[in-house]
Amino acid sequence: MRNLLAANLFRLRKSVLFWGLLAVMFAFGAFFTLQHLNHYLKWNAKFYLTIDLFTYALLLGFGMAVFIPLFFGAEHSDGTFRNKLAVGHSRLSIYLSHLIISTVVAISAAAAYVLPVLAVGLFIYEPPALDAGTLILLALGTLALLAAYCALYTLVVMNCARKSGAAVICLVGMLALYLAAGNVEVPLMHPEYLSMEVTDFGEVIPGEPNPRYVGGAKRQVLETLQDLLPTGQSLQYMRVQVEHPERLPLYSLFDTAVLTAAGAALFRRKDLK
Amino acid sequence: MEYVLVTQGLSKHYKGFKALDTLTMRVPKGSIYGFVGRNGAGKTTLIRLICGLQAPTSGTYALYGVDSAQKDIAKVRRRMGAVVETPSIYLDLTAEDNLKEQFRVLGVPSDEGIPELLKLVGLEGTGSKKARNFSLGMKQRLGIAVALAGDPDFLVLDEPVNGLDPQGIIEIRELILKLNRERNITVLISSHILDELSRLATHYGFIDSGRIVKELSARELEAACRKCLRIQVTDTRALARVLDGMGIEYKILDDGQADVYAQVNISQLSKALDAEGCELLSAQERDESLESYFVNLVGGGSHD
Amino acid sequence: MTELLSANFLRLRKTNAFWGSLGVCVGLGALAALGEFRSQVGLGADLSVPEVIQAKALLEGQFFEYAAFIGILAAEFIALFVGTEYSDGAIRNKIVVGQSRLSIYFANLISGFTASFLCMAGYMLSCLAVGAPLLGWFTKPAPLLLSAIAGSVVMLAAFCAMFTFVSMNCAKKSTSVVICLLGVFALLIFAVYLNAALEAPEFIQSYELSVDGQVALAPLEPNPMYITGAKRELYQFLYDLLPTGQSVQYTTLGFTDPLRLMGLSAVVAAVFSAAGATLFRRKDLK
Repeated sequence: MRNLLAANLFRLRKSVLFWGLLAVMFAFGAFFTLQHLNHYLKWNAKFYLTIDLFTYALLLGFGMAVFIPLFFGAEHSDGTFRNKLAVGHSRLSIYLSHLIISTVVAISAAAAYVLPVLAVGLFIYEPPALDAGTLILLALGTLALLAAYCALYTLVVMNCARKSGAAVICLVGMLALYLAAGNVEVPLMHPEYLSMEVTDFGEVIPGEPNPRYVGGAKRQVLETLQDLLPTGQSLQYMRVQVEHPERLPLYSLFDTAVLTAAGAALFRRKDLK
Repeated sequence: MEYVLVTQGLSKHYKGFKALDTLTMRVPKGSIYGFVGRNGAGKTTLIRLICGLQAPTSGTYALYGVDSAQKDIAKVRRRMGAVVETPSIYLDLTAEDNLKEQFRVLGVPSDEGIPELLKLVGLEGTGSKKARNFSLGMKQRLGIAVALAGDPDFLVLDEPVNGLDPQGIIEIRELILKLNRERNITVLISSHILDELSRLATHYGFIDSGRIVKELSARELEAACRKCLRIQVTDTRALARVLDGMGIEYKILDDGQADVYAQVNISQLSKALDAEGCELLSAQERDESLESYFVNLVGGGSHD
Repeated sequence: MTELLSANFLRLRKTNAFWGSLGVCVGLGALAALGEFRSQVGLGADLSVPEVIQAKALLEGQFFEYAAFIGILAAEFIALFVGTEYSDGAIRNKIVVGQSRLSIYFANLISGFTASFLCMAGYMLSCLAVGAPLLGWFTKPAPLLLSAIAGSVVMLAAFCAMFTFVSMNCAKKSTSVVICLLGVFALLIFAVYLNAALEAPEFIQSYELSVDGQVALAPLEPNPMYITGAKRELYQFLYDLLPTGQSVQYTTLGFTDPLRLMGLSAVVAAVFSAAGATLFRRKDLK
């Protein structure tokens, strides 16, 4: 396992794709920050440090959908899998080494993004409105989320022998998961009542109930889905509006575990060429 | 003599590297032209150029007398078929569909010829199996069938037996010979498997570092490859004295062996050696092979 | 050229990606209509009343959804269909027998366009078949609807020209797939950004809560996000030029000058095809 990791890290260092990913993520971080800086200088606009701090959780959903099929798909298409199997590495350790390397790549790319955001933000942004504990919880949560994305794409790539096929499935799948997350979110956003009145005594009198409001068991299912879908989590982290910051990392770890168990089981049975 | 392909000063440069360097060659009509060279000598580059996949940096070539700069070259290409490097086939289609596809490309009105073509290359029983699941040899043969779809007069095969098993090699060889003899198809084969090539080729072109170093017919090659007699004796110094006396060319290999380049009368030689107190232990007739001819020609040394 | 087209259409018939895409489009068309019907019924709308239909224009809302995703579908399909010629090496078979590079390029462009158009038609027909009985017929004026349909066909041609440009000049299939898909995502996001910038109101209305608890309108303040002058013109031009910008406009039926959009798409298609064919003519193939 350690040899496999070392071999993959070696290939990573030589990979244009890897350095390109880091550069693109850095550029995104710098671009958002410069835009805020511009508004700050022009209109003295104020931003919290958390603005765009976790947007990498969304960007890397796409970034890793490109990186993993192209980087690891090459093992299928160039046949280098065979070299690893032939010298006695188990399929499980090959699978896990790919997952670990992908996660390392994702975290490095997130760091590349955060670097310019913090470099400027620490000086001009307002301190975040969240307490330190929640902030750390959110940061750890995004890392777990990156692992879940990596687990998803690793499952596809390891079990699809065609590199271009894997790339299509990952990218289009990602888009579909975003649409799904959007469809889960929209009904949850409708308020319970259409209007509210505040009396002179400070009492709140609810107005007409909103027919679009979703309540009861259906609301619970939708909320769980929103937390369970990696894309649902991405959207929450991006807006820094996280209802259950303590739950999301657990859901991500659950996703990672389930996807990896399924993917590794499939890969063990797969006939390689 | 009529030539199917003539190249003149053909060059192809990639970034800081001359893959072909003013190459000039002539492929006679009706021949099986063996194109011999090491890996990286420029064989595949030449084939890519004459197939129109890449444009030469300088120089020209002519197919059936039509210059590559002329517009008619596209029409002449219709008489060509080629397998470049790997067989060019759609992996998600069956053998039959691959041929149907090429028939469309060629504008052949009817699919009638397909079963015959499949039979010719021995793929008649593959049914609905996709080319992805073919063995390497089957893919190679399907590639040749696609190249034959337009009923070409000139067939270009790049390393056609690469990676095939002995049976597959024999099948491809038989097929090429059959096409050449029965349909009078001119064939250009590049290969570095010299022993295999020597069983087929009627003409040879030897390429090294992007240039043709020698072009000759199989008959000329045979004449150039001298026959020799390998002799084992107890004393080579005695042998040398005897052969010098007879005026025969020879080469001493070690204490007990020598090659003799002439037809000698064995009993006379034996008698003469006896007189010198030397015994003749064995004598074996040998051919200088295509391989050693090639090594002599391009030098055995640096192999990049 | 006709030979190449006939060969491509034969292969199209045997390509799973084509039948899959067509199936997805037909399914989406029916689902869109059905989903809208269900949510309207859930909201208690009575769809048997002509006035309700007239007011909501429900069929239009679903029917033109195809303009939003057809670009993504064309990206995926063309990158795979054309990329296969490279990865399987079959492009050589065409050149070796003397087909010109120009006709190979345009035959592939036409095939990709035809396949994407069939998928688009699949969506329209199934949305119509399921939607018309459930949601009622179109209520907006026919010239508007027809120009949206015609315009989106020209827009599709622009998309196809862009993806053919990439796929014919990139010998690696997986790279073409990623470039085309990421490219169309990026252009869609850019179009949405342009739309947001163009739609930003000129003034911001805010409310003031006076001491005695009265809510009053504050004086209008100019919106710093509102764009004017040359910048606005540039944004509007890009929004009209980009096929993804047109996607948004056709989906929402929010366009004003369909002829201008069609003209711009025709220019995009022509420029990409000319550039792509020129590059491909000079390309060294393996």
